[in-house]
Amino acid sequence: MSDASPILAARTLHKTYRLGRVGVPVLRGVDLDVQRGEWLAVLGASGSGKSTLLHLLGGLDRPDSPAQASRVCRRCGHPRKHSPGTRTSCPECGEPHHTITPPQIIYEGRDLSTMSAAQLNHYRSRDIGFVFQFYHLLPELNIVENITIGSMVLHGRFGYMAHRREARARAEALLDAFGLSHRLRHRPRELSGGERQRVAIARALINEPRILLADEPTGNLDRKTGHAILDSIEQLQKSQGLTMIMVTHDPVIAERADRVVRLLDGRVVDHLPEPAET
Amino acid sequence: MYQSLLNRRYLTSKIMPLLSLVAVMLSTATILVTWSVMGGFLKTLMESGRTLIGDVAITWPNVGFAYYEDLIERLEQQPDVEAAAPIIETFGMIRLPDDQLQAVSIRGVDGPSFDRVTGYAETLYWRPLDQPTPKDFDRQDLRLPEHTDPDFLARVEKNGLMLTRDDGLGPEPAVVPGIEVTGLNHRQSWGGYVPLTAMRPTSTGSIDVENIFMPRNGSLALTLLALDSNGRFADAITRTFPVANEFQSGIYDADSQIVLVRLDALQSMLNMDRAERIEPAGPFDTIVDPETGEQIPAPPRVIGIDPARVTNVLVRGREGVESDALAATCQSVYQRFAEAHRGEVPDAFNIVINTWQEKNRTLISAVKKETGLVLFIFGIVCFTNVFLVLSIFWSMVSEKTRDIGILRALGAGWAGIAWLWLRYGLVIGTVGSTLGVLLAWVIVHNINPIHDWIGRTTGIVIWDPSVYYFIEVPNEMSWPHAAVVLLAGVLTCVIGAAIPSVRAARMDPVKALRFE
Repeated sequence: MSDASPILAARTLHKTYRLGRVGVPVLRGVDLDVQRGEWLAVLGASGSGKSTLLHLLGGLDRPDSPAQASRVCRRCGHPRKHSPGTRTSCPECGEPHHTITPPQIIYEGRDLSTMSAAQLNHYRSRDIGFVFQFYHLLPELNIVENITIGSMVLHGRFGYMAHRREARARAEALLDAFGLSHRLRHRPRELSGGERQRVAIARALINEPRILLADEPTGNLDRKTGHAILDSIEQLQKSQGLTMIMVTHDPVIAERADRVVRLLDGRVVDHLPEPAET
Repeated sequence: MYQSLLNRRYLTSKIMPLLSLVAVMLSTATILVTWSVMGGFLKTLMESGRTLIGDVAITWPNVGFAYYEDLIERLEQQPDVEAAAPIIETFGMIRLPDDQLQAVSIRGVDGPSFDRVTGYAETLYWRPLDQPTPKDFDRQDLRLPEHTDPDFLARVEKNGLMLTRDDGLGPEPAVVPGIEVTGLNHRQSWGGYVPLTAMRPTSTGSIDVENIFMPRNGSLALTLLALDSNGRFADAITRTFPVANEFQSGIYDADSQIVLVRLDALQSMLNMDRAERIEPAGPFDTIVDPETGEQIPAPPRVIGIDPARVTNVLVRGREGVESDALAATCQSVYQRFAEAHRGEVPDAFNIVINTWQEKNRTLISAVKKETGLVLFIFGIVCFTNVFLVLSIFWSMVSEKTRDIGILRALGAGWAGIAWLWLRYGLVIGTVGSTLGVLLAWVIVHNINPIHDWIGRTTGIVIWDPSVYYFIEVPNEMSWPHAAVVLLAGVLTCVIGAAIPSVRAARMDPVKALRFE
């Protein structure tokens, strides 16, 4: 792929959650291009579908197919009783029904929907790094194990035996970069919130992914710690040429990104101008 | 790889898996202890059932067959045969000292040869003991030297083996009843017997204490029906025999119903001993009396000899010879024997040759049913174990829902997640079952001291020797049984973990990550 083409692109992403018979359309046709090495912030209110978008881009979830999307009204979520084509508008809100084009999430020119389950697992493991708001560390494992487990998942039992030293060295280097080299044997509960998030970032980076997907990474931290975390991420992103998509509801945090998009009513509705380089 | 790490950590940092491991260990140990004790009990019962029978019996009931010495000689020349002994089996009545009549099974035996075939000497109860029996902690056994003169008991033992007793008038044929036949021996809580002590008030107002110890001065009147050589009832004969000793085979039915009599005495009573065959003289036949010189009627003439008969020949095989193979050997030997005595003994086609298993068919069938029952209970416990593990794992999967979401986000596939929990079940099953087997081994090997300790401290005696016929709780563990239980323990854990594993594998990773 040429450097000019986006590393990750989303086309007409729809996602509806079901609450009994009623559907709740969260995404209503998201289109998005993410360039290589770009830090993209997705700004949106709580419940706007930011995390859902991140899960779809990361291959954790699948977007609605046209058939799934046609089962409910895309505006109000009211179920469609008749087969598509028999009625042209929703009896609840009057929104005209229309069929959607098949969704696409294209990573390096390859559509995720064409990948097998094993390929999708490999994509999540090798090319994507997830960072969550609530850290999501495994409480029974110590810090080093929490980081190297990503490598274990990628390489499997025998592969990991060959990569063990390498993975451990990288884990220690990441922890050293985050100032946690003295905490290798500690359990997550023995760390502060900021330290836990650094460990979570280190885990996301253990397999040297191309894209980091961060879901409100500072949402659970105080402002000072949050900014310190963002400083660390920014440094890594710049030094390693990492592509990063960060969702947040905080415009101040979003301003630090190379580019900001806003998620409103399930669509990417506007693009804010790029913040000036400092 | 991550499955192994997480299994290790879950196992050592959480109480719930440890609880499930303990549950598996205890249920495995319980099943194995029960199976070992029940299996030991049944095995002892089977082995006791073999006592007094030998491995194979050649039988021609009621009338019996002659030339048995020749048959025994032919049998003992076979490499498969260790020894053979003649016996007579019949039924009769005994009159006890208190004038009670009792129907019994009577066996005429030749003590030494019977011992070689059946180990009869080991079943004689009254014999000198150096050490008390396992439950006789207070040395109450009358056979111990502090209670009874060992020389006297040695004489009683020898009397029992030879089935004779000498009351000062020379040795005479005697009987050896089972220890429960007379009802004059009381089984004690420590598993032994004490002869009845009768106390009667006398005319002087004192108490007359009488120890009724049958082998010292007791006797039994034996009544049975003699048969002629054609199997027709001849006479009812009663004869009183001194009691030489008493035997304990380990089978209550045998010990309460069988009376052993010296073979020659029984042959004589049943008209089965060696006898002259006579023919009455003609009504006009006379001879000259050598003393008076007068013509007198001629006496009956001896025209032949009827050899002694027995109803059975018991055969013991050499070590390692299967009873079916031994029966086949006996069949072929008997065939040659019958040809040699054609017309005088039952032919080979009609003679009854049974192995000890066939003779004990009822007992063995009951034993097999008991084993089946144990295995059925074992199956139910295993099934319960599946649900126990399933519920614990279900709960653990629920608790670890978020971990599953995290692992899926890190790239773990559904198969990897399923294997994580299945492997966890396998580890818990393997460790728990192995510990259970070890615990069972410790308990089974020390079950008697443990049982005695419980009895001493709480007064609860589960295996009461006065109720059960075996003094000690069986304490041998079968390793093949242990392997089966271990395998079943592991299997139940894996089956129990399977449904939660599938649930974990099918979990929506996004919902799992949002799990609170």
